[in-house]
Amino acid sequence: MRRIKRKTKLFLKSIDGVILGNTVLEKSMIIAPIVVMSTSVLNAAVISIAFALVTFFSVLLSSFLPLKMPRSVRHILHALIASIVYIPVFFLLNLVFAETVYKIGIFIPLLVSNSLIVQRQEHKLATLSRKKYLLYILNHILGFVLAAFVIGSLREIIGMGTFAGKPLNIVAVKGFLYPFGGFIVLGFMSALIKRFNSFLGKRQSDKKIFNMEVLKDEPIE
Amino acid sequence: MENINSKNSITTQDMSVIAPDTKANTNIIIALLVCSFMAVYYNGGRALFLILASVITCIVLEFVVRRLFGVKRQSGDWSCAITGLMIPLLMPVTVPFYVIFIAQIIAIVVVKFPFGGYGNNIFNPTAVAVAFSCLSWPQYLMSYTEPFADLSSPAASIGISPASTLLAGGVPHIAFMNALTGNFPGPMGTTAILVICACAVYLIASKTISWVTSFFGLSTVAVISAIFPRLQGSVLSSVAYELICETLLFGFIFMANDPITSPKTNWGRAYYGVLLGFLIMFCRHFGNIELSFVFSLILANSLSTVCDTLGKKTKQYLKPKYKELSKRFSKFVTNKLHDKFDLVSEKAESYKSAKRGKKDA
Repeated sequence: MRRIKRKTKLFLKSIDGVILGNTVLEKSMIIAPIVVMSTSVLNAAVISIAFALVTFFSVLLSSFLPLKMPRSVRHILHALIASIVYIPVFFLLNLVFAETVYKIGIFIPLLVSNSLIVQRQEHKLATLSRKKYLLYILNHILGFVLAAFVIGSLREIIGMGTFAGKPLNIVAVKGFLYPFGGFIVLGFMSALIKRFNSFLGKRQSDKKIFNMEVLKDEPIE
Repeated sequence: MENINSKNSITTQDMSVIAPDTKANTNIIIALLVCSFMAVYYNGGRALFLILASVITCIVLEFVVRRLFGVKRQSGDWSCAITGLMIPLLMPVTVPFYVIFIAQIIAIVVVKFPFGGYGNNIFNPTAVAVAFSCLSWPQYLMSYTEPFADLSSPAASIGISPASTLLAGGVPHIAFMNALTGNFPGPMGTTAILVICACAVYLIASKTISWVTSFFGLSTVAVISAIFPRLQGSVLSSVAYELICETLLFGFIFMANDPITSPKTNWGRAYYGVLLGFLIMFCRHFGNIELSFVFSLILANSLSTVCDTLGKKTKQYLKPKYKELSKRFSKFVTNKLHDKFDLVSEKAESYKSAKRGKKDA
């Protein structure tokens, strides 16, 4: 049992950001589009595609910016790059999922600012190679996609009694389609991930953050 | 700084787990049973089935969830039975049982235990459960039946509640005695006004609930409905209909006085009541949902701590003034008494001297 636990932990550490350290479920970031608009599998798919494309390409282009540049200028440039990347992504999505894009509305353009949150991980560029850094960002994107799909499909099943548009002949609880329903599902998913994390054993980084004795002993630089 | 904080704000210790009061819980259950009796009297066997099934499933559900969350039961904690009794009483008799069951799941699994169980919940579980059901199945929760109606033919027995008439801008017509006895369409256990008032008297007399929240809340509703009536007609009828419609009276007695989610100080309760009354009237004037009480209560619950802090501040502000006032008053009274006493003694002396003069003469 211990061996399985250790192997699972090692595997999950290698893909950090997908389940452990998930952007949405563990770090509670980029939750607005998921809570409000991830009410069905189709919505979740559109949000995921938009987020994946905008984030990946804007991070890829931003990684070429020199790290010596002042932080404030770099942030402005990040925002500009993300906004420029968003334009072709929007046209592409509008071409394929016009109705869903219209339904989701402001939450797709808002993904530009959400991708900036992921870009704030750029301090990793100093320690990782560009390839590893992009892989790390890809893990986070995958984590977001996973969270969006799970929450979207759960809310569709409970809230509409369908899965990907197919009726399931179960009682629909429409309340789960409202934002508070989204918060309920998100809260329980987060609790599950936290429980799973504690089952595997706390991560070293968490220990460092929450162990006050460690903080006391280490002088603040 | 520490002193100011400890005086003016509610500390975490104040918000810690409240031990269940067995006597209070029993009193509330007795009062709710009386309301349930009225529900069964007006709606027949189906109401009895819904109430009994609801209580049993709520107790079983709480037992299961308690095991899952690993929370131990405190002795005298019968809050699950109270929730189980209240949820069906706030719904119409025609509601399917699965609606009540899902409402209970919301109350216990979402509102109560994630926060730590009894004494820790921020929102009133019953209010959240009913609000959630209202948004999920408005077709069931807004369709009431006439009392003593034949439920086998639901189409023939559909009744219009005074709340829906007022919401549509109409004028409800209910005879005075029918309004008092609850002989009009509405949620199962919330229409019998006289019975609810009797329960309120019992609960206040047994010190189970405080009169402050209910008094200030109902007064606010009455004042606002008198100033801004939704009903074209006399002010009195507007106030009366606003007070009897929906779940207002029931909610103010049984839900707004919840010891966990309501403020702990008397001034806080007064602010809370006024806030709740204002929110209810705001929802009724500008909202589109009949069950405005539960939504207002959820909003007020989130501001309960603020009300308590305000209450404490008011008490602290008024305490020295009270002392000063009482000193002045006592001085004033003693001075007056002295003056009067002097007058009386002067009169007595003059009377005595006059008598002596007469005797001498």
